[in-house]
Amino acid sequence: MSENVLLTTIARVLKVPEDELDLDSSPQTIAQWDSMAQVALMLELEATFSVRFPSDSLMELNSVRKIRDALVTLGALPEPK
Amino acid sequence: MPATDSSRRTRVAVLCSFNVDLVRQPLEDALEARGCPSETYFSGYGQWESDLRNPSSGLYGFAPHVVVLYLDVRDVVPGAFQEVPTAEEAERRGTEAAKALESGVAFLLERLPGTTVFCCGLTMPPRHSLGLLEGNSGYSWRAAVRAFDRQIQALASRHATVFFLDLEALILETGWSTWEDPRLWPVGRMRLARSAYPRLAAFLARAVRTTQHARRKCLVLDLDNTLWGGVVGEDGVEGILLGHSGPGLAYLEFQRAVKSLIHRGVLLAVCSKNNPDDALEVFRSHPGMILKASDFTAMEIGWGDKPAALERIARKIDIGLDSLVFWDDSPVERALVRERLPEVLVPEVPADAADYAAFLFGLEAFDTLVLTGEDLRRSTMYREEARRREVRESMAERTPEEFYRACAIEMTIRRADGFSLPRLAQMVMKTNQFNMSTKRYTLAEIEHFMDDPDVDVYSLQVSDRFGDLGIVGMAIVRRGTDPWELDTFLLSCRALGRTIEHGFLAFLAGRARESGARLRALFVPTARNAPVKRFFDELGLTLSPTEAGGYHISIPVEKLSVPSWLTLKVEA
Repeated sequence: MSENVLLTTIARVLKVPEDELDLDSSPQTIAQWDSMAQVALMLELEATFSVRFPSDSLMELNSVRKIRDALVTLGALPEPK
Repeated sequence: MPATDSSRRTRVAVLCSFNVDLVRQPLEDALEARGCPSETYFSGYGQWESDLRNPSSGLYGFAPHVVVLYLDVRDVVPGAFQEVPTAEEAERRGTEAAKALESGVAFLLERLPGTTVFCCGLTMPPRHSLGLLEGNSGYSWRAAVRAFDRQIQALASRHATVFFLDLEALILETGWSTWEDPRLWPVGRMRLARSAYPRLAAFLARAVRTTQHARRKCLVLDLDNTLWGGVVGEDGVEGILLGHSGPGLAYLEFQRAVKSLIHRGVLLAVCSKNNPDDALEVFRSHPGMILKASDFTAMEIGWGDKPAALERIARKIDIGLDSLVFWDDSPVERALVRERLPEVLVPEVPADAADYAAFLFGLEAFDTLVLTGEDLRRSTMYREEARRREVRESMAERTPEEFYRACAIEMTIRRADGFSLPRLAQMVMKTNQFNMSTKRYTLAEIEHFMDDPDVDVYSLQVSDRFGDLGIVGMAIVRRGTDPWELDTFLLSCRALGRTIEHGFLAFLAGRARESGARLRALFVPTARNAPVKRFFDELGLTLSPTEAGGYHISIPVEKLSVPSWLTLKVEA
């Protein structure tokens, strides 16, 4: 799995063009990224990357960067160069 | 993609005791995939009850056709799965929760009469405060769930448009751990796991679909490697696999499953490449045969190609190809039928016979929420029809009138009531050939007509000396205008060819005549309803085009009379 897959998945769930997303994208920059979308996003990423986020991180992982770092920690993404 | 007129969309409201918004998109997709484009409404978290009880709520503004009520037992039964209650106490709490729901439903039906309401049964988590005490020493949580479900089922039996949904069965399919995600309740008042949403969507869409589309009427079965294992032409009657032990048991179980469909009003037919003598010998002499030759309304056993045989079956039973489901273990035959007869449903039959029975039970094509007396008598009626045909052939030299007289046909006309309603709803949904306007109404809409003082809804039952055909005709007359408008006039195909349509129309003409009114019929030609056109031609009536592409026909109410060979009984 790569960061591309991460961005593709986020774009699909939030229904935004992929090129509008970067590591700093968050509910502050993407209007569709509300709390409902946050949960939907977490569930979709869990299925895509075969991971399970701990319950206390579900609402906290609210930027592309935080999600990427969490996936790295869980071993689902390689360390960024 | 062509835009769908929003008035043709089914408005489905989902009232849930927790946040189930994530099912919205999958549900709309699942309905679309079943030919039911929809609009959906979801009550906000914690709002289901106020939505239901407040006539100015979003729910009433949405004016749903269908309401789904999905309550979690933990949200409606106090203390559920945390305390240690006696069975009596749990039962009391379950009943109380059901009564609260019941009065909400009554409130809804008063304001939106005829709305279809689906109430999900409660579901119980596998781990709870009672542990192994469940069902022992007088303790039980299950008692609450049972009491609730019983109460809701009783409610459903009292209202023609209220139905119970066995949601727990859906959860059992893959288990609780794929249904609930305990992390989501604290963060979003959600309960369901990601994997639950598509399944819940399909389950609800399956139920909603039945309110819009008629089910298929006939299962057409192959024989070799379908009703038994092996090939009778090669293995012989004694060599085929069918019996109470070993691999033949799967086929026996499948036959039992098929037999159960007869009791749900589905007709059976055989379509097999075989020597008829070999195949029929199995029916005659194999002790493992659950299905008898007499269970089948049509049999096509021979070496011709299957699409042609299916067409003969449809013709013989007098139903459309779109009423057939074709079951064959051969992928080649399935592909051929799919290609040549796209109207026939051809399920992708499992490779292993051990999976046959469960697969058959899971087929949505035979889904129905109601079973009418006509459904239960269907296969008997087709047998009576065969006798009728024999007599007709034996009287080929005589005039049609003599045959009609010999039949001693009796028509009974009643106003639609609670007994006939399910059958009328079924006919209005699926009658194609003798259907003047081919307007499709839901059961709820017909019920609405029945309550309207300016609308008459009639049911027609026919019997003759061969048997009872059951309810075979229906008419809706709108009397609010002059002339009265014959909005719907239809006859089941099994009642055709014996002048019953003449008798029925003459009755309606008489009603108008007695009130000094004129009567105008609406005829909308379709690909299937040519018999209606012939009927008007026989009567010598003029068709005046309407702007909407149909025709108006003035019915000469002074002239029509019931043919002398028909006995008319009016109880309306």
